[in-house]
Amino acid sequence: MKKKLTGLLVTLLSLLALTNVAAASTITFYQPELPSKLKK
Amino acid sequence: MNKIGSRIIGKVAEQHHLNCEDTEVVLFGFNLLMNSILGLGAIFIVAYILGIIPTVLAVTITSVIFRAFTGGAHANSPIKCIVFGAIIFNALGIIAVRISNIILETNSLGIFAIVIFGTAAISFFIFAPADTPGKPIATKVQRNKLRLLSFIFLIIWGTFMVCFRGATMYEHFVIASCIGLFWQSVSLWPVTYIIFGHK
Repeated sequence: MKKKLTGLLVTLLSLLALTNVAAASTITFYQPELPSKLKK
Repeated sequence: MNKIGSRIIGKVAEQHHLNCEDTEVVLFGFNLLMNSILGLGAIFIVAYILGIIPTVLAVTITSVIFRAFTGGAHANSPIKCIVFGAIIFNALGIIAVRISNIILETNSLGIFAIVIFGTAAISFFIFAPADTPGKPIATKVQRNKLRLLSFIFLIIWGTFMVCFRGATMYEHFVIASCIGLFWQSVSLWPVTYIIFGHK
């Protein structure tokens, strides 16, 4: 159960990261630097 | 916050046998989520103290929606992001409350919205989408797509405002939304980037 929840977390956070790549910017005033995998 | 995030995501990555690159992606997503929660939380806590939550909500939602497509000036640290966000959006909320009565008494909501729409259109035409240092817009295709989406959402916003024109109780939200859009337009200007500490 715990592994399924953490797996869901990983999926959601990865999706959020990909959404940020597609968008121009984050919704708040700070944009963390893109990891190297997403720069490709 | 970065250290706490690294520890949590590190443990999760170990559990799921993620490689280094994938762990970085998940950590990036985590940082985005936490920055958003803390930033928005700070905005609404201050708004609650000031008693202007509905107005600040309208300002913030408008600004945030457009920000995803147009970009805009950013703070160079998460703490500055939280502080600037709380100050700026609540200041805009206060401005919206103060000018609401003047605009409604002078029956100039239509003109006000048109001026804001025009300012946004010009700002988007010249500056959108605006780059951020941590995430430059890499390809021309993506740039053109984001620019087009900025204008599409601007038209949707304009249509939405016209639809609410007749409903008196929502006029304060229309004004607050106009202020949010105006701020988002201003955040694209080079001078705003300089004020935020970027060249």
